[in-house]
Amino acid sequence: MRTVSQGYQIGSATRAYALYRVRRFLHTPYKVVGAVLIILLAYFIIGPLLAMVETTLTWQSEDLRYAPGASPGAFTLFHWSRVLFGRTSVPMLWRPLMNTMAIAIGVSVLSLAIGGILAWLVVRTDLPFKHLVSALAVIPYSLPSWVIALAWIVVFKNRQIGGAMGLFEYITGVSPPNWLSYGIIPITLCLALHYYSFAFTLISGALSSVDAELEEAAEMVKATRAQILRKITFPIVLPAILSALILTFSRAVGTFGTPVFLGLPVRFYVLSTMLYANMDNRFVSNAYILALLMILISAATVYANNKIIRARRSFVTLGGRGFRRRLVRLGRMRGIVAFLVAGFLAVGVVLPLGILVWQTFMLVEGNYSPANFTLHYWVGRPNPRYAQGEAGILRNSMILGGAWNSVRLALTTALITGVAGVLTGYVVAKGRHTLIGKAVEQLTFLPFLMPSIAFGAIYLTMFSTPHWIIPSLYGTFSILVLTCAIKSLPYSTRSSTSSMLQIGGELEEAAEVAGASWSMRFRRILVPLSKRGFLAGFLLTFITIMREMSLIVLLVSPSTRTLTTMTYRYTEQGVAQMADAVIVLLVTLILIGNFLINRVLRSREETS
Amino acid sequence: MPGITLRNVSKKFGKVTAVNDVSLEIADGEFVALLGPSGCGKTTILRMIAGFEEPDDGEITIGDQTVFSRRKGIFVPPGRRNVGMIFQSYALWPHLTVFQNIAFGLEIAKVPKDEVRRRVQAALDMMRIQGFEDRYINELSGGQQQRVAIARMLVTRPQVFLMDEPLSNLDAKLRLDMRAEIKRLHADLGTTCVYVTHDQVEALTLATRIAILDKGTVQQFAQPMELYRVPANLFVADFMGNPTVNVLHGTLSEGRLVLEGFGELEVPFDKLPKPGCAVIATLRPEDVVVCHTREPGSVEARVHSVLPTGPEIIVRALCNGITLTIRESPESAVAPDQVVYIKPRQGAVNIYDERSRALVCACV
Repeated sequence: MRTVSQGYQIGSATRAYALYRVRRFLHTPYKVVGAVLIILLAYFIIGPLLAMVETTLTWQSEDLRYAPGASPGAFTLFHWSRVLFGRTSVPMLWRPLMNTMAIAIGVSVLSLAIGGILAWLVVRTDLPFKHLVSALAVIPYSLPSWVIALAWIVVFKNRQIGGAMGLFEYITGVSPPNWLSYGIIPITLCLALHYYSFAFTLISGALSSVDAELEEAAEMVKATRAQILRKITFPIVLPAILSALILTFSRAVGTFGTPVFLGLPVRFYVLSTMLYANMDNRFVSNAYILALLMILISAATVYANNKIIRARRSFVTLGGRGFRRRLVRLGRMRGIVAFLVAGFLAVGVVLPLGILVWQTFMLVEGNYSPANFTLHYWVGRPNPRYAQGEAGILRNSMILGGAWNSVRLALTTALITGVAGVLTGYVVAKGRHTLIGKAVEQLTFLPFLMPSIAFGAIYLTMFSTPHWIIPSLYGTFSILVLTCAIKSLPYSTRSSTSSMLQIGGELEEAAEVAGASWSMRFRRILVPLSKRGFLAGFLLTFITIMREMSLIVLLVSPSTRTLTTMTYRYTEQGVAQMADAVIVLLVTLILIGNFLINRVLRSREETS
Repeated sequence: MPGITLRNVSKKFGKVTAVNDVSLEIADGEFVALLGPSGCGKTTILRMIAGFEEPDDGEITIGDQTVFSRRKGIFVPPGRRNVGMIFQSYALWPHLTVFQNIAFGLEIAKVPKDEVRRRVQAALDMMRIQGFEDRYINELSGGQQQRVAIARMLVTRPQVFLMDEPLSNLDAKLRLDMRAEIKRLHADLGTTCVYVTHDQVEALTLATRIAILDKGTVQQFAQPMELYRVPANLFVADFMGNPTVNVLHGTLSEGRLVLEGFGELEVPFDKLPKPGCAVIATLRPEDVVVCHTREPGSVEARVHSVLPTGPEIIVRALCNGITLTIRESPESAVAPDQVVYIKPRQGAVNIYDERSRALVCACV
């Protein structure tokens, strides 16, 4: 698409045609909207990324501390060589990297095993109380990933680190060894207990789309049940399994809360916590290099996932034809299996929450006697002997302010992302085969590749000083909203693209042929029809942001703290009861939100 | 005079040429079907007439309005072309009632309220769907939805009707009903129609003229019976007709057509192209004459299978290694493995150049 403003001579026919092209462009709404979006997205996504790369490749003023001759702003490979090969590179990069990898692999395998078995039991066998099982199984995923870590501390805390005794020691009288209290094993276990629900959702979805006829066809040729499972069912759900594996891996690479709570007490670092530590000590370029490495790992896994999905997509596209599903009879094993599942859910889902609630009622940490029961951390007046003199959370204006910040942040983000998602979805759907559509699709996908803490780090640099038309946003509420909105954009774009593909095609064209202008079509056809998808996306973003910590932990200021970052602060200060009470409050808000989502979605389904 | 003219229209999607230098002259009041296999460019042509796709080159006029011209830099958006369209999915708006769906275009055109009511009612009457005004689309059957879609197209009184495979989502019986409905509509209103379909029976029954398309070019644009009787090339010959036409290889020499495995045919001198060239002869299944005794000009064949369909019987026969399809009346008593004698009906063979695949000699 050439514009006419080029200086050299062009023939009048060419010029007329060029003018015509410009006019057509301006009259094609998705192209105009798309062009604006491309500029904005490039500014908010590519820009910060480049700024980050640039920071790592130039001398910074804080480098003068140890490199007195450096002139800030000049090109250097100093940071990279220091992080990759320097004297401190082992504790700074390589050991955290190994830890991260070990944890990510462990978590993916473990959560796949748990999620896969649970999914198979729920979808393909006659396990009793299936609805309850699947309802409970997905709860961990809607909670912050580090809730279980906090519960773990309550139980397995040992006194080598100092502080009160844990529940385990209280019961058995044995102080748990360090490897059980902190570090790689508890981190892996706690994360697996969170991420298994991801695998569970993906695999049960794939399993329930396998037509029983495929298995019956194998049965016709006298295949045994084990053979069918191995040769028919397993290969068909393999793409979902691989997807779950890879996506869990990429999430685990970027996770922050759990390694903070269970790693820092014993100086056990992963990439994300090392990044945070560097940021905290103003080793900004180190932090950015770690962030870039994390982005690289995450991007590679997502790329691998897309490759696998693309190569195997044909398996999963099974027609919308209704089909029967046959259930495997567990027979005599039924009772035992049900007992095991119940036990798992009790230990993995109900118990952690229960322990956290219990802890909030203990006046002195680690004293489990009834005499120690208190409501102080909920409704108590300030008392200098407990919680560093802070009032109980329900009468603590700072905490209520944090709760309000959480809700406000989640609502604003959900609204902005929702509206932006409608626009990006429209452009992607309408411009599916054009450069503009593809560019918007790729750009909106980029934040997905970036681990949350790295993404937060990017925004910290970019917007801590006035930038172009944007004033300095450091410490403001706006920077939280901006970060969260851009980070959520991939999800809202995806979901709105699929609904726009349906309504942006012939349904919009039917209005166009009737003479409706674009604004009219948008108002009268597109918006009313995408309402449902918008609402679902809105609520989903709301929940996601409510539980978000790693994305904003670098960006919050005392006035913009949310419940999640407050938990972190209280844990750091060693006021476990306050931290747990805040978590219980947050979990309650999230569960209420979740309940509302289900209500809304169900009632919508019924009316349509 | 709202005819439609396409002049040298081309359209590419990326590297794929969807429509290649197509010119069509559609007269006022005609019912033209665009017929062809999937991917032949028929829908793209329709969407270019509607204005949903912008051609890369050429010119399109509707009536005396030029709606697209690359040379003159004209592009009229769909809403200002005064065309009505029925979409393959019907594209009825699920959040509006039947009445609101039909009235939408009138509201956009700022037609006064009572006239909207009157005209929607008239459209409902015409399509015989009175009483459904307040229903939502998902409360209607497929056939009723189709009628609403047609009513919505009629109500704004467009000068041209465009239809994109409108019947492909209906079951066989409803499709027949709606075909009759659409034909009647055209007879009553006389509005120029362009109708996209891949179903040749639909095209043959509805259209006054059919444009057969393949790989983005018009293969033949003619009246239905001419298309069937005298296909302009082998693609059209093979595409039209069910079961498909019999294809026989042969050579022309000195007034004779020698068909491999099928004997000889006399070709009148005045129809003779250059002798000695390799040709392909086509023979419709209903033009194969079956005799039970050897007759002059007939060849021996062995019946392979007999497939009765009700009003007719399709017979497959092997004749010197060539499989022939024969359409017989239901009274015909042929049985598998029976030996019969077959010959082409007089004046029913078309001859095509094997290389160019174009018709060289019709109705021999």
